[in-house]
Amino acid sequence: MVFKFSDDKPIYIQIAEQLEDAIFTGTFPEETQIPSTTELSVSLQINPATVLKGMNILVSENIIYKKRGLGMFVTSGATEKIRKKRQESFYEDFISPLVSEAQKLGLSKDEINSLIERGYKNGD
Amino acid sequence: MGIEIKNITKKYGKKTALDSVSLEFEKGKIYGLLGRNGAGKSTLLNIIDGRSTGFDGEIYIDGEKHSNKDRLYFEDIFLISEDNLYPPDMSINEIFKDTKKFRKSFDAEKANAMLEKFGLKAKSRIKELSTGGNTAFKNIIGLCINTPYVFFDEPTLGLDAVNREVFYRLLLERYSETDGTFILTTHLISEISNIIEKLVIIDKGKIILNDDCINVLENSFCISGDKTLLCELTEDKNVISKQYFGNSASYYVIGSEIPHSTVTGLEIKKLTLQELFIKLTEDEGRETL
Repeated sequence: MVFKFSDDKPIYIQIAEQLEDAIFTGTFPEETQIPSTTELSVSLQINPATVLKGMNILVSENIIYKKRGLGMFVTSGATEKIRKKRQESFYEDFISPLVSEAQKLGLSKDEINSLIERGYKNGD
Repeated sequence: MGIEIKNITKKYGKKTALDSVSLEFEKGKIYGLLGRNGAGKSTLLNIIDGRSTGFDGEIYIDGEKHSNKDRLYFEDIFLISEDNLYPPDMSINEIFKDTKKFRKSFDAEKANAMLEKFGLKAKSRIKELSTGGNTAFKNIIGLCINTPYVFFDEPTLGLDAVNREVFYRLLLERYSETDGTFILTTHLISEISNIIEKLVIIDKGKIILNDDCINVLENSFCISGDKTLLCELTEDKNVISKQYFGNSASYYVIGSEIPHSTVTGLEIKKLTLQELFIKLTEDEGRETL
């Protein structure tokens, strides 16, 4: 997997997000091991405490878990958990900014609806 | 445990290099010691290491008082200094052998293996090395001496981008293996902002910041918008720098959580370590405060 970092968010949050994305897209399947803190720290050139802080976000959400003496593993059911979480935040992450931008541009509700229709058509 | 510095003052003639500096370096962390040219970074490291004498104040290494007569502490600290102290006619290989005599924990085999990673040869003499080659060679010694405290003063001086990456990786590897305490000074701030856990900023001989790097960055921001509105919003906050553009302004704030603003025309941006450093140590924006 390829990590890409930006300056607009704390780095440990970006680590959590990108690991989560890799789990969701199947790069790290359920019940398999994810890279160790040291591996990620050395290859990404990020302090291990920061990497661990990012991983701990996923541990607290029960997306990964620690196997004693072995390392971090993807929890079974993690993909479904991530899907649910993202569905729940879909409104906040996508709809809310979409509506506020549409209002700024003076696009009507009907116009937005027809754009969504178009999106579905093109997506097929 | 760690290094405790109490009220250190160091003068060079009439110039005060360190002005009653007190701080603690916690054990097992990577520190970034940042400061502008002449701020006192090297002076501080030289004093802790014992190279620089004639100062006021006290230093404790793992609870034991550091004294200049008793060099017991010396085994625990290794300083890779910016100055070149190695004889120019000696070869890298000879210096590795010498180092082994003085530093039992030095792993010469590992050091020799690292030479290749930086494109260096064991037979090369010190005087034949480029600035970057010299830095790389000194870094190797620091990475291969297994002392609890290792200070790298300007470990990126003259190093090209590839060799800097090699150094950062080797440092993090060494850190993971041995859990040592490392203090780095550098002017390439953006490159080390993710590598360090602790941040110390020194300015004109005084420590102006000492905190967790993540913590500092999560509580620093730039807020831009209408001048009067900014004044109101930042009344109870620590504004370190102000910039004006007609009726609007940008205020740089530290020590407060980044606010979520819904006010139109107000822009809030997280600061990078480099931006924070510049705003804290530049002379310009501060004078208008």
